[in-house]
Amino acid sequence: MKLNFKPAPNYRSKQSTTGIMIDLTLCLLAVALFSVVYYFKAYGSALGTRVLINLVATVAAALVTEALWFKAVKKDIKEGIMSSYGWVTALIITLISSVNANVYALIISTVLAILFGKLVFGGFGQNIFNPAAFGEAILMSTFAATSADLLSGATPTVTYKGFGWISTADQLSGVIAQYGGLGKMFLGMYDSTMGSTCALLILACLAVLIIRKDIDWQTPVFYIGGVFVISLIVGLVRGAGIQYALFNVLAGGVLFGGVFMTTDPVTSPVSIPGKILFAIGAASFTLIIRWKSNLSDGVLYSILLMNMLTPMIDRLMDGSQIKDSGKLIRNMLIGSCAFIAVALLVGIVAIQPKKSAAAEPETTVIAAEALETDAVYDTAWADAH
Amino acid sequence: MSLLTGPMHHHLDGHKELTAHNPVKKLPEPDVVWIPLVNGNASCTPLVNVGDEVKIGTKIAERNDHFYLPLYSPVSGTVMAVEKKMTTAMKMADHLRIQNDHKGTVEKPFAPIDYEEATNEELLDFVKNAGMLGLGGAGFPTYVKFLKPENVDLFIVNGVECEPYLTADYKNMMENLELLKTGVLAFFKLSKAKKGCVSVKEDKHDLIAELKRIFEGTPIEIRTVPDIYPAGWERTLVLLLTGKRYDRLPIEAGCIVSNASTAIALGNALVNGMPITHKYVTVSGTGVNTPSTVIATVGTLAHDVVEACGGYSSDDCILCAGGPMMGRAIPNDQFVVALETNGLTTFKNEPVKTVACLRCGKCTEVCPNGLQPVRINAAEKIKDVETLKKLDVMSCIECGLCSYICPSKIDVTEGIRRAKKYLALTKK
Repeated sequence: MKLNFKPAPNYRSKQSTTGIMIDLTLCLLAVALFSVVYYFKAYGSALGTRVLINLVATVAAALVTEALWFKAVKKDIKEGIMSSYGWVTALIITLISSVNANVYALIISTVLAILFGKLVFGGFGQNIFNPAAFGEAILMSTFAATSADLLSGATPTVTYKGFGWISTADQLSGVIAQYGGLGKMFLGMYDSTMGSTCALLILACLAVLIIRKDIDWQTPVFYIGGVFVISLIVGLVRGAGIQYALFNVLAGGVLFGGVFMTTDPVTSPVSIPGKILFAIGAASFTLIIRWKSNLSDGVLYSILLMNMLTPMIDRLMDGSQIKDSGKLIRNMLIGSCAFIAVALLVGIVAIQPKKSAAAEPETTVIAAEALETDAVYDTAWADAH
Repeated sequence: MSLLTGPMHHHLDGHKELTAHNPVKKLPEPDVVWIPLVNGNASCTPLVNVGDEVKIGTKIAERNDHFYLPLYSPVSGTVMAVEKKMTTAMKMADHLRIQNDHKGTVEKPFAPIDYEEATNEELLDFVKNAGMLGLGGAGFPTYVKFLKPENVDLFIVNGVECEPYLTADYKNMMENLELLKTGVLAFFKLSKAKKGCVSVKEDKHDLIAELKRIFEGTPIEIRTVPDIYPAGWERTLVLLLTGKRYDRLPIEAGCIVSNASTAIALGNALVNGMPITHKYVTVSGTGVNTPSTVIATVGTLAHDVVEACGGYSSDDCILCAGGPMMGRAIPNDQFVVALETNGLTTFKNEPVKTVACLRCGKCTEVCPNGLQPVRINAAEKIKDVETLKKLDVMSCIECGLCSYICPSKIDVTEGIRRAKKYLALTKK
């Protein structure tokens, strides 16, 4: 007869981290399935297969990278892979890329994301940046020129960028009509990054993940709500109408990023006021980057920026949630108001409509962005030295 | 303010059906009992010598520092020795070993009194001399709470029993309703409270009906609380019943809280003139063959209690002194049923697979005291004293909910215990 010691409590909930990741994976697979079916139906088997190959290739790349890593650091490979969840990163990278993306570029970005975005920090739970966002940033800034030209139509965000992200209500209606109207956009029946189109499906995933307590509702709701409210005010002030807010939420990666990327617990704050501040900060950065940068969308970099601020937000929210609740709420309100105020200022004062509102093909825009980003980096590099 | 804080509690699967519907077994009187000479962190001085004859009810020891608590013998027989033994708090302490002569001779240590006629001073003295203590697990001498009952709005009898698996309070209340009524009314009188209530979980329909019947016509209300953990913790209970939080003691929120089993023990003392000699103890979990709630003599070996319930169901078990949330796992079963013991839960030893913290913050959302366990664990790892102080570590009550909820199966509560110890050491 052996009686063992284990520290109390000796009672555990049934929910496990692996269970959470399985739920998340199933949701991502549902989104991926939608994407495969859409491209099969819209463009035939060549593009449908391409989506499938991209998904399989990146997941395989993630698993092989982790297997080699765990072999190198002399850990049990199967256990290492099963508690590192690299396939989630791979799925997200593929789903936030265009179908035009080169499969080798996707593979390299995934490998770098897993390796330098996660493993070198100490593995799952230790990384500072969302690995998928990290990988996608590499893809966008390094491999834009390798993209194929399979789809000639630009994504909604690129098209509207041609207008300078602000226009009259009529012009915006014209842009929305290009994609079949807001209803079609809600259902996701248009070309854009592979996984980010079907709002209905992504919101259904959000509901499932919240009901199954896999994620907190605060982060996605305050992120998506933040984008909606800020752009609603800007749209009303600038005469683009209520549809401006809906367009800002539906176009680009706001919904996908809000549901699958801002909610990454590893790289977001732990307390609820912290999560809300994080979400509102990301919403503000998303819009500011959309409106004022050379990039076509701001979701990715807004998440990376807020990832960077996460340790600071956590420190800001240190304390007892009861005894220091006043301080925590004050910090949250001050931070959120500051973010919102800057976004509103930029939206109301600083964005200007472009005179020639011609939609350019996505690839050239991205290539141009890449060049300009490089130029910015070069300047920064020169400044630093 | 649950929009910004999370619920600060959680529903647990209580598994109370394992023992709630079975009849209560009275265990045979043991041949030997060991009486722990401790109360809380203080030791008690023995009042008998080795070789002395004692009867049931003989005062054998007392705590006599800033608090007073007498200990009475639960059996008749001979004091054999003072021995070191591990307690349910997993500390070594002196125990009086008493050989039971099975004659059951009784020496009533105090006379029964009528609480309605007695003055409050007499009643308070009675509570003090009868050795009443918090039977919910804390073992705090009861009379202290009633020393200066000023501006008490609500006297609360805590029958919530929020620990999973335990049904000792439930069974005790169901079987001793008259004693409960006497004890509750006596405490209510002592508290000088405007209102009084007995609070139980809302899913205990049979108990609620019985309580409503027995307290009909008295000023005592029956208040139900939701089936959440830790609804039976003083702070959570006061918050659930009054909506108020307090800093140190419930009296700040105008409340005095007493455990239901303590009220029954007082009822027994008032009516029968007897101290606490037996305890309702739930023996449950996957590690015992026939889970049951039993009546065990104070001082019975845990080993004997488990054996009386069919023994262990596996050769590799975990035995918790109390419920699985707050009860310590003790690596042997040679400790005894103490006055404040209300359960022994035992589980087959199954490996817990731990993965890295994913910083989900669930521990922060459920902490009933509003702490941030994930941040405390992170600060503890690097021994960051300043941050630990900021995180209010010392107010953790080790309810265990943070470890329970952790999807990565990390011993979060243990990390906080380490942090508390470290902080206590750095203060000195």
